[in-house]
Amino acid sequence: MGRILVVDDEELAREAIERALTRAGHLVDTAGSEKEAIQKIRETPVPYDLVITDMVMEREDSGLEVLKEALLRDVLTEVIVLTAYGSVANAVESLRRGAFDYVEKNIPGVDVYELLTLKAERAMEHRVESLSLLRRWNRLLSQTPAEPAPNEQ
Amino acid sequence: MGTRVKRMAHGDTRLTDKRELALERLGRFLGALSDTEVLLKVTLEEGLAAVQATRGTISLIDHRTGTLVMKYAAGAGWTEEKRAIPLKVTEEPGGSISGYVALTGQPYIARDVTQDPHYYPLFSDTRSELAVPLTGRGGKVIGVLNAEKEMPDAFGEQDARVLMAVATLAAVALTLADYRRREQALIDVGRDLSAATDVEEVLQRIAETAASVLDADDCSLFLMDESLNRLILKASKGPLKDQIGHASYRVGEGLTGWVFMTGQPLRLNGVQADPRWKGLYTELEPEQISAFLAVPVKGRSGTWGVLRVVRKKPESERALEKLFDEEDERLLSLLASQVGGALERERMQERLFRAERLAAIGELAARGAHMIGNKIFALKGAIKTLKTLITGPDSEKLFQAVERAIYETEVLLQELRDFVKATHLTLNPVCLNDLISEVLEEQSRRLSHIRFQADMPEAKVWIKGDQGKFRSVLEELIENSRQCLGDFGEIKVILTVDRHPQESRRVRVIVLDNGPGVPEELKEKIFEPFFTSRPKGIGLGLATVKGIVEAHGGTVEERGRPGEGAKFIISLPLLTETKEGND
Repeated sequence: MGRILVVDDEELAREAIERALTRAGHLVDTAGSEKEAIQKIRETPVPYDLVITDMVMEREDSGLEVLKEALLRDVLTEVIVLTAYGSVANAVESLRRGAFDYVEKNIPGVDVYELLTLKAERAMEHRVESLSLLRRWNRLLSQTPAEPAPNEQ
Repeated sequence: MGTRVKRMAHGDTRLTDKRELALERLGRFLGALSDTEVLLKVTLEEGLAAVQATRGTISLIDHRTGTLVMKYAAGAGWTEEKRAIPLKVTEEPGGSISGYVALTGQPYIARDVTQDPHYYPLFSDTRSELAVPLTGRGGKVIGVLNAEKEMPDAFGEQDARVLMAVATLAAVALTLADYRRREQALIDVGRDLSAATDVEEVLQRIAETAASVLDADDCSLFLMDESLNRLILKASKGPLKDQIGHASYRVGEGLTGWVFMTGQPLRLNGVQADPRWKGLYTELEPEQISAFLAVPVKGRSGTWGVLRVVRKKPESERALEKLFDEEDERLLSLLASQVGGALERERMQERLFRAERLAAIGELAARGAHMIGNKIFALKGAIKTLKTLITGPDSEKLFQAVERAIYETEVLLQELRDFVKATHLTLNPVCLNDLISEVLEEQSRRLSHIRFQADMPEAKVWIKGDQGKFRSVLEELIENSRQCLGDFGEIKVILTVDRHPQESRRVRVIVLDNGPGVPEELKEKIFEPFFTSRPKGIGLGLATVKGIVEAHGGTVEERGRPGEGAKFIISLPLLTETKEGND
């Protein structure tokens, strides 16, 4: 189970993703625009575990902005980018900038919601691994006497 | 009135008379410059006056017949019959003094015609004759001016020099008129080409103009067809006209193919003796052809074809053959380069227009596909939930129908996306032999009822291209064939490298089937976006193929004969060839 923010300017799509993920047992929050998403990412008391964002909303690369904002808030937040036709180049760019994965919305004959739920699961696992790795590192560093321990939050 | 004023002012009336006379004569010449007919007449009259002759003629050489054609005659006793007597250009005794001068190009004085071996008796009272040549471009004799008198020994060296001066003046004016005619032809052709709406008609007019200004008997224009890799006859003045669109040469075949292959002009005296000559399509009977001139039609981006002219052998055995000279070659090359430039312009405009149109369609398609894609995505989500809420055998069936429709919509969207992305290439060396083999292997597994065949050279053929995109071109063409083929379907892919001369060597990939073929009127339409003759698909398949091929710097056309199956010919720039084991 994880806390997920779903960002899509298409209300029906937003709701459908929310339903699929809720059914899979996640806590889902939604945003209908890049602006709203950025606001929610900044103001949420605890960072989201996963942000699923559409690529093209107000702008061609809104998804990249949401990704940036999510990583600024918590570098270990996972981000999955959704793309409809014509924005695969930006999706690839998002991987380069640290997104976990991207999902094409229209693959003929594929249940994309199923795929998305699966990828969300994987992203969550990835985050857990990263967090535990970080914890181990911190522990290791705090036990080294020569180095001053970094401030743990 | 003017004459009187000048006389009073000078006093020396004799000198003034002479000067005024000279001025008046010069004025007559200048006034006649714009009209060659008048010029000939003035030349004759002034020439005779200058040597005080009583009779004379001015004639021009007809190179076809090897005779002198009398343009004007002066003096007493001329009849229609006498004027019409053709005088041969010859050194034979009794062939006429004018004919002899036409041959030698030297002035000739007969002090007593009764004793002269060349004299041809037209008038019984003529005793002396003086004849001088009119010498045109490149020192060639174009005509003869002759003067006669009834007394013997009437003309001396002095008279010959004077008559020669008059003749030279006329010859210069005639030459200028000829240049003007040539220049005008170039201007006219240029104007024709720039205002052309019907290219074929203009090409035909150019062939006719070229024949006329080059004084040729016929002229033909062959242009390269990249799909067929052949030079096709596009225009011809004479009997070959019937074969326009059919007569063709391979690159390097015959004189015409040689000119295309080498990009060099060719000037010959007679064609039959030349080892390159094939005699496939001739404007005249081969043995009748004397002068042959062919030049390549060049544009900035390469050679487009060949423009050629021929002259008939003179009817008379002894007549001088009139060959094409360097100036003729220059003129024909200029005409050819105008044709090349115009064809290039037209193709560029067409490409630009197409590119703009495709860009607009692409933009629209991309935006549309994106918006529809988003809605479909949402719809899929809603259906998915709905399925959990509504159950039962009837609803199951309906859901299947809805999902099927969604699936098909997404396939259409995919088609749109492929079309939009057709021109976004990632270029790498691609080995066509390997790619074709792979595709055919896959396809023959997928379509076991169709017999696949490949015809490829031993050497590996490489192009600079996008492997994935080019694969989809082949797949689309095969899919296109498959949909028209019955139970005994056959699809054949041929790969060839064209033996083009220049650096611009090309590769052809030909996809043939034994289906019904494409009707003539649809051959161009099938590549238009959104054209389809099938219930499925939105008709972007072949438009995408064309987009991809053109982005590779190539062309694709359908050239099958209706009823004999489809024949798609892709022509692409060759990157390189490697022998087996060397790569």
